[in-house]
Amino acid sequence: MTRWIGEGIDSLEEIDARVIAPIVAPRLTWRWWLAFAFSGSLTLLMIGTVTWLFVHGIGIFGNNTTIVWGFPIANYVWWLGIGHAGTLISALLLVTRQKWRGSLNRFAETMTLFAASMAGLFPIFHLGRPYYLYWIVPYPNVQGLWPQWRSALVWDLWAVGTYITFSALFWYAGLIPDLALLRERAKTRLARRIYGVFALGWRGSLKHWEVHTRFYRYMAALAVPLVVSVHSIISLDFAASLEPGWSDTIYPPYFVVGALYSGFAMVVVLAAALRWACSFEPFITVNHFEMIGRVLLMASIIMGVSYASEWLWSWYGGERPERHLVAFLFTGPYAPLYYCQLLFNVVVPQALWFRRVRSNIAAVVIISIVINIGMWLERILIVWATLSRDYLPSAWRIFLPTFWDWALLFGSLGAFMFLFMLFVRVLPALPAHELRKLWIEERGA
Amino acid sequence: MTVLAEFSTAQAATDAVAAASRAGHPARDVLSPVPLEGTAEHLAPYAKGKIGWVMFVAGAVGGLAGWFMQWYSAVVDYPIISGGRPMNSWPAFLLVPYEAAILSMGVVGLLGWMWMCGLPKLFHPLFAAPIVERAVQDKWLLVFESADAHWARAHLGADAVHEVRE
Repeated sequence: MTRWIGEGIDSLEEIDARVIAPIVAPRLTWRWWLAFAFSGSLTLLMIGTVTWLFVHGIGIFGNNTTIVWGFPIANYVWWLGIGHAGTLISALLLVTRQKWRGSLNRFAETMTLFAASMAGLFPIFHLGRPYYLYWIVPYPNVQGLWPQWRSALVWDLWAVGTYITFSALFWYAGLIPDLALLRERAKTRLARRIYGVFALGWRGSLKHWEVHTRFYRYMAALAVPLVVSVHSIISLDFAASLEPGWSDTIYPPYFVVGALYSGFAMVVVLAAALRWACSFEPFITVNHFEMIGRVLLMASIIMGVSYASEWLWSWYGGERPERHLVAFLFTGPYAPLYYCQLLFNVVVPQALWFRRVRSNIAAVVIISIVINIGMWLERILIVWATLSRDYLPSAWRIFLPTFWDWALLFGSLGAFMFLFMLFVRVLPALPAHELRKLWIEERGA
Repeated sequence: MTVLAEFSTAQAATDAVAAASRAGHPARDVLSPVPLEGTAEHLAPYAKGKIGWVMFVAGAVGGLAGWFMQWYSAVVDYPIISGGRPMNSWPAFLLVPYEAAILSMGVVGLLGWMWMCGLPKLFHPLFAAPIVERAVQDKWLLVFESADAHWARAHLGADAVHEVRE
C-alpha cells in the first residue's frame, strides 16, 4: 500500500508543528522577500492597469470590432479553469475516498478561491461600463427592470457567483479545526483571539465531528456537479452562439476536462513551491506528483481526442465556414500559436507515460508549466480564431494584444501569487487534522 | 463537576469509549483531534443533527425560488420577446435554479451545522481545564458526568484524569 505521509514523522505533534511552522516560525529568507516584492509589484501593475482602464475605457485593449472578446474573456476562461482543479481535488477525491487528497486539498481549494476571483474580475473589466455591473443582478429597482435570463452573461454571474461563494464555504468548513489549532498555538495574544473567533469555539467534540463529517461529505458531493456545471455554463457562452467552431455539442465536457487539466498543472507548480519553501517534503511526496502525473496524462489524451474530433466534424459536417476555420488555424497567422498549443497540450505530456518522468518532481513541474501555457494558448485561440474568421469575410481581422492586455494578464498572475504568499503566512496550507487522521490510519497508532 | 479521562492514541480512546458504554457508564462526549467514525454510537444518547434533510429542504426551496423568480419576471412582470422564444423558456431557465439550489444547500448547510453544534460558542466551561487545548492537537479526552466519575477513574486505565468545575 502506498504511504502518503513520508518517513520522519513520528508523532501527531510533529505534524502540527510542521504544518503551522510557516505561520508561527516562518523562514523569511531573501528569496521569500524577493518573490514577495516581485508579486507585489505585479499586483501594483494590475491596480494601475485597472485604474487606467476605468479612466480611459476598454479602448486600451487590443479588442477591435471583430474580436470583441480578445484577451479578457480568454483569460477569464483560463483562470476559472485553473480554479476548478482545487474543487475537483478536494471534493471528487473525497467522494471517491482517495487518500492522497489529504496533503493537497487545503492549498488547492485556496488556489480555487484566488483563481476564481481573478477570473471573475475579467468579465467585469471587459464590460464597457463596469459600474453598471449590478444591472445583471436581480434587485428591486424603480424602472421595474429584470435581468434577461436567456443571456449568457447572466448565467455567468450565477455560475461564478455561486461557485466562489460555495468554494469559500467548503474551504471554511474544512478550516475550522485547524483554526482551533492556531488558536492554541499562535504566538501573540491578538493572533490567538482572531483565530479563536474564526474557530467558533471548536473544541473537537465528537458530536460536532460526527455532524461535520456528514456535512463535509454532502458539500463535496455537491461541489462536483457544481464544478461541472460552472465550466459547462462558461462553455455555453461560446456554444450557445452560432459562430463556426463554437456552436458545438462537445464544448461543455471539452471545457470541463480542459479546466481539470490546467488546474491540476497549476496544483503541481504550487505543490512543488510549497514543498520547497515550507519544508513539506513528508506531506507532499513524490507519490503525489506521480499520481497527478497520471491525471495529467489522462487529461492530455482526452484533450487530444477533443481536438481531433473538432477537425473530424468540421470536415465531415461539410460546412464551409467550419472547414475554413480549421484550415485557418493550421495555416493562418495564428498557426505558430496553434502548433504550440498542440505540442504543449498533447505531445509533451506523453512523457508522463514513463514512471521515471512522473517520479521526477522537476520534470513534472516543467511539463505542468508547459501545459499551463498550452492551455492558455488554447483559450486564447478559441476566442481569437473563431472571431477572426466567422461568416462575414468583410469583417475578418486578427487580434494584436496591446501593452495593457499583457499588463493585466501578468498583473493578475502577480496578484494571484501575492495572495497565495499571504495565505501561506496566515493560514495552514495543509489540513493538519486530515493529516493526523491519515497518519493514524497509515501507522495504525 | 465533570471529569476528563485523557488518552494519547485514537485506538485507546475508541476502546475506552466502547468499554464505558458496555459497562453502563457511557461517556457524555469525547474531545478528539480527529474524527472517530462510528464512535459516536457509544456515547450517552443524544439527538443527532439531521443535516442531510436540512440541506435537502434548503436545496428544494432555493431551487424552486430561483425558478419562480425567473418565471415571475419573464412571464408576468417584465415579458420580453427574445428571438421568438416562448416567455417561459424553460431550457434556458434551468441554470439559475440549479445554481440557486446548490448555493442554498451550502449556506444553509454551514449555518445548520453551526446551529446543531451550538457554535459559535467562544467560551465553553470545559475550556477551564488546561488539558482541553491539547484536544485539538494530540490528546483524546473522554468527558464523564460526576455520577460516572468514580467508575471512570477506577476502570478506564486513562493516562490521567482531570476534574473540571463547571
